[in-house]
Amino acid sequence: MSAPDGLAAAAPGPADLGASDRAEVPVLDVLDLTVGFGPAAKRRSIPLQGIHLQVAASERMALVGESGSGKSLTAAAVLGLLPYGAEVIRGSIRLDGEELIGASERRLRELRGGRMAIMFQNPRASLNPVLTVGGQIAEVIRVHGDAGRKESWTQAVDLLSEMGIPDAGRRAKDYVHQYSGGMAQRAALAMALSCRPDLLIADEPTTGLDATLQQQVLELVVEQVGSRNASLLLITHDIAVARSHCERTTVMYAGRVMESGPTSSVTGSPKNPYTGALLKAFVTVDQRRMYAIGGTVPTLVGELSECAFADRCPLAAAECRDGVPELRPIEDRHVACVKA
Amino acid sequence: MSTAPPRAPAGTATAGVRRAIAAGPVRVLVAVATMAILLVALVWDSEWRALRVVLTVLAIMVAPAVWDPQRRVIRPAVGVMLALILLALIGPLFTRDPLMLSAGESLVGPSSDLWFGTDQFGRDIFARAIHGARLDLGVGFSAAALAVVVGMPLGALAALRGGLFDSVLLRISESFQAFPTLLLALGIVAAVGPSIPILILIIAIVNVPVYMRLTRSAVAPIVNADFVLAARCAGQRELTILLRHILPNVKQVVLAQFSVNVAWAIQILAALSFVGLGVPVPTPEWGAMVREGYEQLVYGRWWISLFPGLAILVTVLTLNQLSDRVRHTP
Amino acid sequence: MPLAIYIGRRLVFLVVALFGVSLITFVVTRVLPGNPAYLIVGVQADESTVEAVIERLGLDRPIIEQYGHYMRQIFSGDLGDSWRTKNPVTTDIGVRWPATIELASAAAILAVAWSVPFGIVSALRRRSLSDRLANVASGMGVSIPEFWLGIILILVFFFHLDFAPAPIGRSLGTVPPDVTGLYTLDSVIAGDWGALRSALAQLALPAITLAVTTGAPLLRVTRGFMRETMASHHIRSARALGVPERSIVLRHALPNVLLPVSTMAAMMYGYLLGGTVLVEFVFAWPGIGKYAIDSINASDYAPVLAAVLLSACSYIIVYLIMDILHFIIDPRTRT
Repeated sequence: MSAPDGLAAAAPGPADLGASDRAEVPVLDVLDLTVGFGPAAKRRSIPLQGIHLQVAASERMALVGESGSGKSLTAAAVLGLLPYGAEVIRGSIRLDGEELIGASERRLRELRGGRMAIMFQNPRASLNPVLTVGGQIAEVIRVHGDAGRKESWTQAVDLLSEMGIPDAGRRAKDYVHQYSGGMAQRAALAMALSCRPDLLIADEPTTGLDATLQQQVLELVVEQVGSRNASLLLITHDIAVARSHCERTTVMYAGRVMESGPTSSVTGSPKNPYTGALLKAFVTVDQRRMYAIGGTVPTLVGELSECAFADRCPLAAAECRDGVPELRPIEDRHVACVKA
Repeated sequence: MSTAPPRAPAGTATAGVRRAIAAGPVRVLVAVATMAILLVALVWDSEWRALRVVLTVLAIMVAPAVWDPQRRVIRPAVGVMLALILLALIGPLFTRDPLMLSAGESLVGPSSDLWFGTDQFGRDIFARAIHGARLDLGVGFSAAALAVVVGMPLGALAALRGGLFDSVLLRISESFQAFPTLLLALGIVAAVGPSIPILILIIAIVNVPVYMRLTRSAVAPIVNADFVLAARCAGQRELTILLRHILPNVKQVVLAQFSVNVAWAIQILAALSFVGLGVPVPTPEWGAMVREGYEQLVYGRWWISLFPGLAILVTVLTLNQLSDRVRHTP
Repeated sequence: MPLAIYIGRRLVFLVVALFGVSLITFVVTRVLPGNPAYLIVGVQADESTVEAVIERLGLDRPIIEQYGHYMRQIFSGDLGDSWRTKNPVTTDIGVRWPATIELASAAAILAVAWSVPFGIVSALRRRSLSDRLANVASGMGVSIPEFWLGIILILVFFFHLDFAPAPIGRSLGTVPPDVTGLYTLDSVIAGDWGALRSALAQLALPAITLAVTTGAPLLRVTRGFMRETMASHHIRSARALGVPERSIVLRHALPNVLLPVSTMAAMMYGYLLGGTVLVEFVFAWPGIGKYAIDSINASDYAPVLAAVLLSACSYIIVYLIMDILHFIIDPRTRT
């Protein structure tokens, strides 16, 4: 089920975003993804509008933005698990070159957990309370391969011990309420990586964990993804996390991509005023006063016809309201701002 | 987000009217109907004083929810309920005497003259059903109101005080839970003997523990909520805190339960009368009417039981739907 | 927590609950207005009998002492005599309870059989046909008066369709030899298929009536829990890792739903076991409920009190058994 060749060419925006220096097909290639909530006839809300996102093979990409900017919804769209009432209006999502929009539910299920996997925040809630942890991992292994019960169980135990869970053989038989938050997240990682996916989406994997554990878990994720040559899409609202763990960063705001490029340059010398504001708002120890971005996030009813940040932007001018700024290549990155 | 700020008290009456007019003609109509009921309840002179009081209270309780466009109380259930109450209040004015014997030939089926037919004494079943509405709704509302008035403060107090008081009340209400409501009511009626005030009292008694538990479980999580602590720090009196900060947050749950409880009360009353332990014999009451029909069932006379039973079903269904709506309204 | 300690703790609760139950029945009979002596011996009794009862119950003594006496009586298994049947109440109940158990069990099985699967399926797809149907069914089932439904069923299936037998008790034909007291089981044991058919035919309408009214709240609860579970984080994760829908429903969601639903079902069964007053009355089913009603109508109070006590106890005990079973099954409490 590969997509028609014409689609990539027809889709607006840059096709080689993020993978400019690599010849191969990106692992994840999202083009002009637009998602709507509610029936098309009424004034539906558009929580995602024209998302472009590319993750190359064995690359670590951070997806940064405030809560409500559409990060998690993007992940849900990639997995084909949009919430009730939401649907993709247009755009394309390709995994290893295979089009996912319009793919059969059966095919999507093979890909989920098989070629792309996800781990969520709040690890203890994302494991089933009445099934053993090992049993849940083994089931995912069985679903995506032809391992039998015994074999899948052994693999599950191996994975758990690989993730640093001591006495994994015994702990695999335990239930999630017997796990601590950090251990549960390790188990969730084991489950996500059980079928050696090409892409791991980690949706705020450290939210709700102790500060001391956060670093450990993130390092484990990066290490395990690296050793499997997989790509990582790390969803976070914390720029520091993006800085220390990801090569590339995409900044989202109000359901749009604002800026995307190498982490060092995006966070070092932002070209989009929103990225700048987000960095300024990020509190550092030596800072006296917290910086707050003035104004509020626009309500996402109907498609916007101007820059989403225009109302709050210090550089806003008349031309900012003459249509949605396109994501265009500037130096080593892509920026959606007419002023950049 | 569990510690939602306390809701501001419902707006003043004039503000309510202004909003109602802004909200469109249907709402105005409903609001006017509510006011009409209120008026009727106030001026309508009858021996049903308790009913009048309860209806007034109910109308006052329901009115803000009806004309507040922010709160979407379902229209059909409210409409049917208002219609039923109206029927109970003024319907009896337009029917035959429910006790009159030989209003028509006895035991004839429904006709254009006698809509629901007649029973074995030739009484008009339609007239009896309408009069039954007054009795069943009246007893139902009174019993539920009594239960809420006793149960709610007890539950709130238990949650606030905690300790021995709380655990004793909890144990008692748990013990009550072990009894099937109907059997308990039966046992008490059998001991005390049936009459309408006693029936109201008994139905209220068996429902008090329900409110106690409900209010307790609704209040307990917010007793130590930040906004309550804040009010305490601001030096407000305990009573003020309870009335202004805590009870408004459980209002919705209690109101939803109230509606269900009226339904239960009606079901219990009808069941008691059905087995012959409810209202005294000639009184028009739905359950008692079903019983009269049950005795005629062997001869295939279906209409005597059918209509009063349907009346119970419609009333109880409406009250339950109303409760669902109140509960699920944000 | 080890099982033994848990059971011990629950047993303490049981004692406390039974104590509360006895207190309530005591208060109902002694403290409410009216002379309890008349309740015990009936209104028609003559002066000397009444005085004898006052003497025997110690009604002239302080209330605390009376309660002690009352408790001693209950514990010695003496629930008084029925002056209507002239038997000790315990004997009467022993004869009638199997009828109630048979009806309650049949009703409980039917109720669970229609409501739980329906609740599960209807929760899977929002606004689907089954979702709407479940909405109507639970709304109607909760609101319909049990006794009226029974009457309508008799009217339709006995009078008009001539489908069901006359609603007059447990059996129209020969009664199978008594082993368990349940006619259906006894006929199977005796190999008497005619008797089995008759027993089942008699059982059908009352059991269906009860199954409709007790199944409706069960349907509601099942649907509610299933919806909640299907929207939970762990179901989302399982889906996101490609677990097939069949396994999501049966392996991941169902156990989470069945735990609370089984508690609810046990509660209903407990209530049913205490006598299904209205339905037994409508179908002339010779169980505890009908016994209570007949006694009330004859101003015979001891059996009423016994029936109330019995139903409360059966509820508490069934609930306790379910609670302990859960403790054993649920991994969250087991370890």
